[in-house]
Amino acid sequence: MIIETTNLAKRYGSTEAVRGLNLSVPAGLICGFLGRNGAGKSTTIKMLLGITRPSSGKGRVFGLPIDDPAASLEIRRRTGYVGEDKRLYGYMTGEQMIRFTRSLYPRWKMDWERQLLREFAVPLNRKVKTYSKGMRTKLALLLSLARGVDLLILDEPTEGLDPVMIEQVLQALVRAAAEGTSVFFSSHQIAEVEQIADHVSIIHNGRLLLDGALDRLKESYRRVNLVFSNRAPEKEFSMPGVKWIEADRHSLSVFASHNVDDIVDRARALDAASVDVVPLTLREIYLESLKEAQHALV
Amino acid sequence: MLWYKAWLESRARFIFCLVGLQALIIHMVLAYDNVLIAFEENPATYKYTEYVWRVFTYRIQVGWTFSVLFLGFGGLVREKVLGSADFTLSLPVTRRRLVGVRAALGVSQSLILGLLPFVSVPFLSLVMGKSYPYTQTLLFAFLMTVGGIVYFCLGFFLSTALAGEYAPAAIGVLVLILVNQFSRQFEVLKPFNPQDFLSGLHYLDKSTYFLEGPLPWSGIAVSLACAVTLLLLSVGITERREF
Amino acid sequence: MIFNKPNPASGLAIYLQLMEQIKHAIEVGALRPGDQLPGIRTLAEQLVISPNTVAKAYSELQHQGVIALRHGSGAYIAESRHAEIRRKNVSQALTMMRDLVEKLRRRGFKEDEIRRLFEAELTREEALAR
Repeated sequence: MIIETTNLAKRYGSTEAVRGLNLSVPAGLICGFLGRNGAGKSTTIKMLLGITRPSSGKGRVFGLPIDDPAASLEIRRRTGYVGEDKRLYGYMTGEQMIRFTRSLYPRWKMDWERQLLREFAVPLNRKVKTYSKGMRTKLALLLSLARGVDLLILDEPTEGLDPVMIEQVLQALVRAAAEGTSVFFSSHQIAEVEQIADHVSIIHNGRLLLDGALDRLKESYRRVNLVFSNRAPEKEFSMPGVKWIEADRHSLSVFASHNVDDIVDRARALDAASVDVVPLTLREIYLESLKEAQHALV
Repeated sequence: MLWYKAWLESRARFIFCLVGLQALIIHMVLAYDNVLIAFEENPATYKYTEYVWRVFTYRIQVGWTFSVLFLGFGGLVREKVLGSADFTLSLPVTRRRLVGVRAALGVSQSLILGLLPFVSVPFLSLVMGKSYPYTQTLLFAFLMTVGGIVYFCLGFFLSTALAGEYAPAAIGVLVLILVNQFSRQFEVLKPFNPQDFLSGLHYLDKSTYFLEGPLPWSGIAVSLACAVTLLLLSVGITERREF
Repeated sequence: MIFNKPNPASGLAIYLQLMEQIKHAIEVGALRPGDQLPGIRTLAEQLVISPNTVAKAYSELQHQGVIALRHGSGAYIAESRHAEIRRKNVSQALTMMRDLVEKLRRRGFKEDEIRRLFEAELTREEALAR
């Protein structure tokens, strides 16, 4: 595991930004970190990098403890970071920012720097404070990708970018992964995560809602649509794998994480007039899981 | 390149203060006659060395004190307001080193700010047909900068302890004014007035207005101890702070 | 072979879509035994998908005997038994066809008559199937 947390928690006054988070991110993969605004994504990332200290719980990156200053320094040597705020040093030009960052990373990759400069077309001679949001994002990404690190931790790496640029960024991330760099990126954009992520972690209200290989999630999550001639027997379907049921007079829409065969068997045993098993997109899995989580709290 | 970054961050302030102080000194020397007339003194009879001491060590000292106070501002807390703190904190450098580099650069800049303008006094005096010895210039410069570096450290400390863009400046200026006022109001505190101390008031030969005898080493030592304490506190605060 | 970008939002996992594309290409002849597939990194960058996904697809295809991974040089379409059998069947069918056409000729049937007989038989089969 390249990133591992055990009951990681962060409290700001009376607000619990992160509570009991148990992340497990395998090395060598692209991991997408999904969650709503304020769900705790940025706070978690800042704790991993030692920018913020956990209130309780533990975390490890590269097997090193995140709350030990010396270990944290080593973590930062091997990590490329792009934060939520991509403002960088306004008084420096793009070129100065590159030179500055390059001086701190002995494994800096000049070939990456050159290629990304070509692709991203950042105006190097202008001061960063004159940059648009998109330019800042591109420069911030360049600075993290060219570092020659083992792990990239990116908070909303495609924020403020147009679709063409987004594709270029995703391509750069894929290239990095192909060279052996592990990628951990948080995003609002489910489509991006679905396109390149091997592993998905979904955080909600400071806790992990879902965590696993994307292919496995998409292979086991299903929606089972059932129609009955009589009243739909919702209560008959509280069984393992059933996460959430939407019921109508004659129909049930069952959102299931696994065990679909048993659900179908039960439906047939109850003389369902129609049984329809539908695969789900990541967006649907995410939204339905949110519904279930919110319902569980009520 | 951390020094380069710290330099770029403080460059404008440093150059502004340097130019300002130097201009002030040039004006003071070249406008010698006019200044004295404004103070209702007779230029013919007024001792030049007294003039230098009075005007320079008080006026320039105030200028220098506020300059170095402001030089102390900036740093990670300010970066948080500007949005780059996360980037800096994710770099493979310890917070101690970040603070250390900024402090070291600031101290160097403060010393230069104190030395350069003062050192130009003897030269400018020659232009006016007066003379002023370099040794005295260096003594006064030394006393002010080494004894007064604590002001830079105060500004530096406030910049790490207080959040917000304006709080350190507001509190810093307030502290300076209050300390000066208090030590003038109360007889008991009079010998400890910082302005008098830095100008060497109690060690002056009143006939020559030169610093005679040994420098006030114990006072300087206390001041330096406070300076170092403030810097160490700044490091400690930064290491523990949440960003 | 020209690869199409997989649809991430499809119900089918991306690696499965990739496998389908490759298998389909083999079936229609866009890829033949011995052809080299793009490297994992190249294909991942081209389609903007995770290299692990490409690796998974290639690994599965190798497991199924559809491709062969040669150490150091990449992935190649395998000389699969399936293709071999199909080729054998096709070659047998051709022989049977040749014999039948010979026989019909000897009985005096002309080319377009033979063609019409085939068409009639195929159409009859179609109608029966409906």
